[in-house]
Amino acid sequence: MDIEINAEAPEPVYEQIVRQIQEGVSSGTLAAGTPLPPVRQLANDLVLNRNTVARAYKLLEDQGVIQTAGRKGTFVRLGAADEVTRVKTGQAERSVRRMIESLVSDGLSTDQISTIFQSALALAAKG
Amino acid sequence: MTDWIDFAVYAAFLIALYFVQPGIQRRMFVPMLVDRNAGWVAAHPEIVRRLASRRWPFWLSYGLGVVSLAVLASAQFGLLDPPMMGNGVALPKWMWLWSLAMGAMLVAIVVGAPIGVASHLLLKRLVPVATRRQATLERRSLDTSVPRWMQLVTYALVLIHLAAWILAGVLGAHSSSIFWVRVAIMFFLSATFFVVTRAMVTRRSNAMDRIFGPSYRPWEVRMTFSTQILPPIIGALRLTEEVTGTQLFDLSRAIQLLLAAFIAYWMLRIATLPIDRDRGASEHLVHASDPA
Repeated sequence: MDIEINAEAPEPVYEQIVRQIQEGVSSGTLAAGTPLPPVRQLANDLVLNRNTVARAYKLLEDQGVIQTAGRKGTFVRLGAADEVTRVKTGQAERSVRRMIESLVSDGLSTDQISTIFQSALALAAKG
Repeated sequence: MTDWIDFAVYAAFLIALYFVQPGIQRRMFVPMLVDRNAGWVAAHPEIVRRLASRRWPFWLSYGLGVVSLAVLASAQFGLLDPPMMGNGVALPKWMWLWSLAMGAMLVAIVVGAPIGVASHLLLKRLVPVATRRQATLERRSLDTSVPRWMQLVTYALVLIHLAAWILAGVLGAHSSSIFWVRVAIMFFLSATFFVVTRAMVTRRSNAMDRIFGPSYRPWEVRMTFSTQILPPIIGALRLTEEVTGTQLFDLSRAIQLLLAAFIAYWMLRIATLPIDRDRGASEHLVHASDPA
């Protein structure tokens, strides 16, 4: 699997790396036990500071997506796909909560918000 | 008669150095720019064309190559006498040819290195690194290029070879006064080839990988890996000489010929490697020729 970063994108580079590895895990391209390149290799290939890649790996490790096994290197963790789902769900819940708080402060009632969400979901379901 | 072998090898070495190597540089120039920033290359076709059309470094190299070959041929045909050594004896022919080849290589380094560094700095200043960059998430290891059993056999040979030198030293089974210097050289060579092989495995992807395709790096790694077998072969012969106190054959001469032949082969191989048209740089080059 290849990874692509855009140094001029508003999303920080380390988050781009995290997101793409998470996507790889979710899609099954990066199965449990798949070895990942060392920080130095990835940083060299992407012409990045090693700390940037190390930060991405650290975040993924904290999320339980990857694990570092000493000199054996870094691997996709068993059950990583579930962890990615859990992380994504948590992020989505936080985003929705922030959005609801914002809508409430704008004066919308919970019924109105619920209706908006349901119609948005229905629209999304239609594709 | 055997002088002709030396002459042929050193002539091939000089041809590779002064004629093949510039050809590789020429072939790699635009792909290297593309590798750094394909968008910039596509947006500045005029600058790229101007830079790519510079010919003077190549003519300089070809000129030096012709002079070097002429000097080597003069030595081979007896038109250029070898210098005298300290004891008043003329330098052996093979050593004279080797000295001339190494002198020519030194000239190539002294002349070529500043040009190379200046070009590199110019391009670095001129072409910004692309904002979009790609990399593989596949971990590179020696195992993907060299079978594990071959690694084990090679490293076993390297260790046995080094242990044999130490053992001979400890037992006093050696005949020359520079035995421990030779031990140090063997350790240094083994460590150097090991480190170089590792560096080839982990080195940053470059234009060569994209131009020559996925089989390029494994080939490069196998080539450098194979150099690790040289210290045990050379060392075994040298150690036999040390232990028996006899000279098997002129080992220094053989090593120098082997090294020159290896470098010439490497350059010739890179110059003739087929370009992988399905990947990377060739696609970029097509895009690069389009107006931005």
